Amino acid sequence: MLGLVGEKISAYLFLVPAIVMVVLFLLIPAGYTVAVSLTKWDGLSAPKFTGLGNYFRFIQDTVFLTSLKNTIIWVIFTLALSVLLGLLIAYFVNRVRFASFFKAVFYIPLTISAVTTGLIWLWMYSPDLGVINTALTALGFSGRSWMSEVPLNTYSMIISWTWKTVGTNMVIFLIGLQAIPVDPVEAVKLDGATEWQTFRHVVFPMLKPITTVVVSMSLINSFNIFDIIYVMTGGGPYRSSETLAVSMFRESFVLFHMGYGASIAIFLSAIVLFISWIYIREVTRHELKY
Amino acid sequence: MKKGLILLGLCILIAFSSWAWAQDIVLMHDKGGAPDWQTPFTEMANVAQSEIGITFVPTPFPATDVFMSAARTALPTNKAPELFTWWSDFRMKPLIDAGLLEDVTALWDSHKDEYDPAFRKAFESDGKVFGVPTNLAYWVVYYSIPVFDKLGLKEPQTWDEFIAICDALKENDIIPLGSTVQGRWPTFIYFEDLMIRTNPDFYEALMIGKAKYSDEPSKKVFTLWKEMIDKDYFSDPSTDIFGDFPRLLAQGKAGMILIGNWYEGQLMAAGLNVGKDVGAFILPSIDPQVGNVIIYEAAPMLLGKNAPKKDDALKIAEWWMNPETQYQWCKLLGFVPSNKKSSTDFLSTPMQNIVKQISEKQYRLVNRFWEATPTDICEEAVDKFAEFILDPSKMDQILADLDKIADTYWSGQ
Repeated sequence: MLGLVGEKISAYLFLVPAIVMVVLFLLIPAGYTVAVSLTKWDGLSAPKFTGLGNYFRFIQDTVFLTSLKNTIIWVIFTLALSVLLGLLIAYFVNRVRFASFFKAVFYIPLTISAVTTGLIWLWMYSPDLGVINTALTALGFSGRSWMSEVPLNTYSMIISWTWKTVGTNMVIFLIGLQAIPVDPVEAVKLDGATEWQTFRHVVFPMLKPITTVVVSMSLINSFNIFDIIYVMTGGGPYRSSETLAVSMFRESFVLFHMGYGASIAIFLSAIVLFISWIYIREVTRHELKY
Repeated sequence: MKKGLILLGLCILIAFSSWAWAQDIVLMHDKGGAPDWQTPFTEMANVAQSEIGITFVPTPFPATDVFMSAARTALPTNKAPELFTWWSDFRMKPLIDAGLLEDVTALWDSHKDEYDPAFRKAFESDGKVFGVPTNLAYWVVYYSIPVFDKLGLKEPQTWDEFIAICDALKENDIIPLGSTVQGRWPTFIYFEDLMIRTNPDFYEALMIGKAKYSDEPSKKVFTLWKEMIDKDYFSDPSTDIFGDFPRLLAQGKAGMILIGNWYEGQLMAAGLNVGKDVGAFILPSIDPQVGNVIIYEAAPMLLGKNAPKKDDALKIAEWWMNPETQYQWCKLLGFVPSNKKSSTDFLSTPMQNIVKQISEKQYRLVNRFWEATPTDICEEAVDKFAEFILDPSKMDQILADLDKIADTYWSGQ
């Protein structure tokens, strides 16, 4: 009896360090952020309690609404481009010769940091000396102001982000594709199914758990998108390319509207928490059945 | 037992090191990347040690945002930095109002004859001065000497001559003027210079809320700016004026850029020799009655009031104000010394000539927009300037928006 109790106690004791870390580095800062979000505070003078005033300000703040719109654009296009392309590339890489070469080509951008990716593409997008405009001019087209035309700047950054992240999705889908048993695929082919029918009715359904992982990860990452935007446009011009994460940073650490920045952080966290909950629920619920 | 002793020894060593570091005077700054002030600051720390027996530890932060947050967090505490770089005028006002800065009025009084009153004013609030000068920059036009020579152009003495140069460059498919919306802050550059060269009194009134952006003098400037944009005088709005534009100057594809004289570092990085490949002149006034006027930018080194070794920091500040110290510091980074008694022999020939011109012709010094107006107005205004640069037809709406931004701020004061 005592041995059993001792075992249970020691199990909880092993959890204590992790719990302490979560409390110290997640719960307390989160609680503090919620408290700050209920105030008007510049970080220097005493905070003034404003209740939910910062949250009500969202509706009237055109910059916040633009950020929200841009965040949704990022989410939709990241799913459409990064996830779909990742799947397509994985599907074809799985079937061609010199697969290792193609895997490396698509994987290398993943190893480059988001900041470096932003800088590389910023140079490529340079209106006067960038390779893109130089190529367009050589082909007889006009160059574009990729980073200052609105909303072209957001889509240009999405392309940069897709270049960086498609490799991750490709790798994950490849793992899924290579785990699919051969028998069901051969069976439908023997029954006369086309390539598309095989993919649609056999391969893709078997990829569902992997697809859930990829889509959920992409959703969380795209909601939190910050570094590449900060490097490439800073959220400009005139805050036209800001996302919620960039607005949060700008309000808090550039304009020192700490209360308002904290409220944006809480709003964004709530959205990401909800997505994460869906993700964990789906991952723990689904089992791969053949 | 042996391992335990070694561990104990390490812990004592770490604790002692931390304690020892905590006793040093800290100088926080945000130029830990590019530009790099860490090396020059370290050198000055060694000079301070040898000359006055007190040194400081330069503590760099690679990003301005991170630096500002760190400084603002530390200043109210007893871990406030003894010294830290900052920005003048309205940018330092929140720190002054919060009582976080040490008053150094006495230092400035003892060096009264060595500094232009404009620089003191930039660091002053309610008659008290906070901070000692770290860098001074004048905003001038750098131009490509080979391009000018090729087209037979000379440094303009009047505004009409300047416009004629822009037209000549344009006719020869050379970008007349560098400009950008990238990075947000550079959008005020042409606004402030066009304004002071039309009506500097109005500019200074506008900066402190005594005039409106929709008033006639301001409208006149925006109309002129619009004309220049419509005539395609400026580079693409997304031009990288720090990385790409010096290369465009070097390649003969661009003619001029209006910028602070610290830009010489960028020009040299592009392989340009200032004096041989690139010249500089002060933009002529648009209204000749305005006289000689120039935008300056002066940044302070501030002293944290709550810092543990404040007395030693004051000794550093006193030493810092000397003409010899200013000369040594400015020589390391190519800054214009703000102390009148400091030699300028290390500056490029064009800058030496400009400094001499400013002194001899008694130019009126006007503070840069970034510092001259409240931060809350400035941060929103630069976005409005960007909107104007990208679509000057929205001028009336933008002027109305600027008024709204300014009115919102000033009504709360």
